[in-house]
Amino acid sequence: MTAPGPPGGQRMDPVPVATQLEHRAETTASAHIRIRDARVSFTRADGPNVDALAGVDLQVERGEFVCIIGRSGEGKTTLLNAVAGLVPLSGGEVLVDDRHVTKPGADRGVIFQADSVFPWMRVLANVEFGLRIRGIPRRRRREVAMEHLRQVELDGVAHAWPRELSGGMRARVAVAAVFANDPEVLLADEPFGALDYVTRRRLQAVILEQWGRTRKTVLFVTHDVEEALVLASRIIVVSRGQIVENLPIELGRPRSEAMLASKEAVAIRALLLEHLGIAAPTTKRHDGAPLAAEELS
Amino acid sequence: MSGRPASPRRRAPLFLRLGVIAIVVAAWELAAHVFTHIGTSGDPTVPSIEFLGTNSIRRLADFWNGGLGAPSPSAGGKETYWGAVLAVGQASAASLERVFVGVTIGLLLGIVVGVLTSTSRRLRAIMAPSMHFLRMVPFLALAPLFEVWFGKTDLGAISFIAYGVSVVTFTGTIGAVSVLPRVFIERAATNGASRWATYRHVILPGIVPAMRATVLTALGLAWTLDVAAEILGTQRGLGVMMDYSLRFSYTGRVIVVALIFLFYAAVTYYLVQYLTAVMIRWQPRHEVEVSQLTAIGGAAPPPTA
Repeated sequence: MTAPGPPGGQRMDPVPVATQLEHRAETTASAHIRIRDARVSFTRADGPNVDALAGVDLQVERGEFVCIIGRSGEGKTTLLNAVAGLVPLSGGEVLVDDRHVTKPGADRGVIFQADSVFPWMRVLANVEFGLRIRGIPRRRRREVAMEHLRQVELDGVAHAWPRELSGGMRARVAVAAVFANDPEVLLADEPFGALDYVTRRRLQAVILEQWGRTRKTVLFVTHDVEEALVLASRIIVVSRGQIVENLPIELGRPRSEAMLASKEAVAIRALLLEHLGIAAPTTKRHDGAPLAAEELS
Repeated sequence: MSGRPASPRRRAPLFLRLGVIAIVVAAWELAAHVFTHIGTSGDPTVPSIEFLGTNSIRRLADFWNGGLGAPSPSAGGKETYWGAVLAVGQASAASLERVFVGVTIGLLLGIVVGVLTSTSRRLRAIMAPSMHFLRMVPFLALAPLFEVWFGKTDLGAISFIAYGVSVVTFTGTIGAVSVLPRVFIERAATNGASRWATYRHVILPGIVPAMRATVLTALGLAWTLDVAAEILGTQRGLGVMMDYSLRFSYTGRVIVVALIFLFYAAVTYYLVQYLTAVMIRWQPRHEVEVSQLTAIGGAAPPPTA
């Protein structure tokens, strides 16, 4: 049985399909996430209008790991939520895969800052949730969920209640649940902020491993300069609702302690800390190239 | 990973609990022997345990209209214990049916309208003020109104109970949804869940613990409303027994019927608690205790602003 041909009895030619795809790739050869002049404002209870996002422009290529850092209340989470579709824009636009973001969707998985593991579902059901919503048959979603639990080393507690798990284990459940749903874009909002140092380092490794395997496009909000240095292929600094720094990180992977102590890493760290208002200001502004260590003294 | 039982864990020892009951009973008996005043009906104002256990119980047979081997006292027959059992059984069936039907309707109505209201800003703006107003109106003040509307029928009692239960359940549901962490709803949305799927997988299971306390509160209220409805406007039921006993100052019978009400309220309370325990087995321990405190304290979850 051959596949039905197009009307008129013409034969399907396999070559033009490939050309079409190439053509499509060329015409839509744009960034995975495009944010143009995005604005989010709200009225504070005591009166004034506050711009949580005051005109953000950002392009993120497919497969990039972008960390967003900044002080609290400066718009990091709002930027992420704008991409997630969890906050309405008051101006500008956000496109993911050339589609306007108007509401949340399964193509953009979110790892939340708060514990988002449903306490009323066992661990396995939590990881299956997204697949269940998408109508994946039970047996298939069980396989996928178990595989993702295995990847975060939680297959042994698949039938436990979340309350029986530690905070770090629940964070891993959240990671597994998001990756099991195979989103195009992964959005993470300080997902490990509440965890202890050792657990956080382990989870960073888990995220990097998952990213290495799947090459998802990642937007990762953190307040932790070290975390950003370990994870990012690019670091963006958000301040007062605007992007004030956009810094490609060209350190190798996996990032050894030596790499994180290199001159380049030290310079990036100093620059980021300055943006966060911690280090003394340097005399020279950043011009795109990494600063030399002596410039910072 | 076995579920832990959700029953209260820190109970006083059995002898202490029984001891408290024994002290109350003994104090009552003592009072009966100190205050020996006899009322107009011939019943002591403070009847002794013995009087309650014999005279008062047997004479509840007055409410039996004959049959099943027990004569009708109103037709000149003898008051027998068997007749009393039949009379209480018949009245209990009527009361339990009203409470059961009223609670079922009230819960469904309260939960459905409550969930819809709390997840729709527009509906909330319309509904919430009037529902909170209704919550503030003393239920018992409305009992005569239901009697006027429905007459002395089962429908009147049932709708009165359903009304009270639905108002309490509505405010409880609003409160339960409002304390459900927003991140759960956001997570459902970022998984592409439809509105219906969000209700089914997130909101309804998420509010179960808080709703359990509300349901137990509503159940207690339902018994109160049942007594009121039956005293005011029905032909049969435990409340009718109480009403007639009160009118003729049969203090002993009033107390016996009150104890029967207490028995049913306690049994239904623990039955619901037992049957719903499985629904909250996922809860962390301390939260279980908080919700139980709420239920026992009888306070509805706080309404939203």
